[in-house]
Amino acid sequence: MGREIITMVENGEVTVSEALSILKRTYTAAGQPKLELASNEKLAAIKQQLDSLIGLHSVKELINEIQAYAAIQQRRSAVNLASEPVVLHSIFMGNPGTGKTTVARIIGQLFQEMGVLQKGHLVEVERADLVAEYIGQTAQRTREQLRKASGGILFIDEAYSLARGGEKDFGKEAIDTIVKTMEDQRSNLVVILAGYTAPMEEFLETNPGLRSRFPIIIRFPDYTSLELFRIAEQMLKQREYQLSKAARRKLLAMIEALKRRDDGNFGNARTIRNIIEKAIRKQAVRLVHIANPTRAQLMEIAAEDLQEVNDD
Amino acid sequence: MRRIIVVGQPNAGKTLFCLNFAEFLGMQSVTINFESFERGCSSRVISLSEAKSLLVGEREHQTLDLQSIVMTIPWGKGRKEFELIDTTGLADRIDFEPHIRRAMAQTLHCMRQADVIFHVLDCTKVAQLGFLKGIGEIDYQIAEFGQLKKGYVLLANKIDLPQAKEGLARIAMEFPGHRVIGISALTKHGFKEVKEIAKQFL
Repeated sequence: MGREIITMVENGEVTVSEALSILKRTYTAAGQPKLELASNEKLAAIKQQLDSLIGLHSVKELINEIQAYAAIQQRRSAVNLASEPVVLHSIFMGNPGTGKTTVARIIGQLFQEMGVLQKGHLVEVERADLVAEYIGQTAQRTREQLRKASGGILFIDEAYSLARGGEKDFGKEAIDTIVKTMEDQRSNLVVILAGYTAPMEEFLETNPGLRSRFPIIIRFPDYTSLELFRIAEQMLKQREYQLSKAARRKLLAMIEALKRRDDGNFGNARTIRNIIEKAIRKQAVRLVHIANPTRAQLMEIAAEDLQEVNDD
Repeated sequence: MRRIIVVGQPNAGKTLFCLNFAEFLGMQSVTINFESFERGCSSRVISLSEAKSLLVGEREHQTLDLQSIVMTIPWGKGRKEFELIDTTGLADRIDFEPHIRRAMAQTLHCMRQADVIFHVLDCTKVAQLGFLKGIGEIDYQIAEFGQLKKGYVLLANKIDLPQAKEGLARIAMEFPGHRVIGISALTKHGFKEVKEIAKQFL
């Protein structure tokens, strides 16, 4: 709002007086620029994006809670009531392909729009980005990543790998640096530790200090077969393809088979995406020799296009 | 560090006030940070007399950058730093020169972020032209905006000129509930009071 008005002055669309009288309204009684709250459209668009994710009911509910909490804290501080600082450091636990990164990215945008985070971008790192080969360099390297993430989210994938390798491992130094910066920059940096459920639990147990520093724990459940099927449909719709009747049956059967065979390495939505992408390539091979394919043909994925993919 | 921003209509005497206030607080030379839309930021160490001859003039819109000076004010046993920001004059009409509009936009942006606003008015103009022309819509708007800040004070400038007393009285009448100080940026009249007020706000 404020920025747009100032741009209008620059373009000669409003006088400075008019601009000032509008700018006035963007202030709260406390004299701070008002944080533009929930009403705006961008926020609604981001929420819409979150809602369009299939499944993840518990995750969505929790994010709604956090968002409401942050908004109320802002309003409380606007009327000079005691307000708790909003600590958003979280732990995301879930099997591969259950939407951890996607949700993190949306949260970043959400909090940027709410004015909790300045930039709201997501910096995705793993052990290799934080831990260096030689002594004394790890803190530096970690700090570099923290600096990049400042104003946004530092998303540490497979966070437990930082604790592997025992006492002498430099991973510990990385953890210490992160925890230190987290406390210092509490209001402008969100750290998310992500990883598979079982090793994550173990990691938290061996580092008891961490649990209290990451007040928000979000568990990403595995998708049900039906949810996975709907994810596949959504992916195809976005790419403007559709399944033939036989293909729908085949895909459902494939998903069920995959779920049954699940040995903990099943990639959930990621595997589905691989299946879809492979099917799209197969369909292309099938159609490339046809002289004039119709629009319907170009859109349809047939049962024969669907094939198993080998993960790993 | 707190930021005090000096705003007002063109040719009210903002730049001279800034430089003379720096001198009043005991600075010999100042480091001025220029922040311009076209040319980015630059910084210059300059003696105050040189700065005055370079930056102050009779033309309107002599100042087109944000010029900020970091200075210190006596504070308890020591001194406290603050930033005084000189800005482009804000006029009521929409200027046809894009660079002036841009400079005004920059001033507005800076006003949003500043902690304290010093609003400079020209007494003689008010006395000569009356309320309607001497005090613009812009001044009322700045006054209302100023109330949202930690500190806001009206500096009725050019009090050393004839007729100015009348202008000062009119300004005080026109902005009830605001602190109005008659000053002269040229002769440093009233600066002591400004300093005391600045200390309250910092």
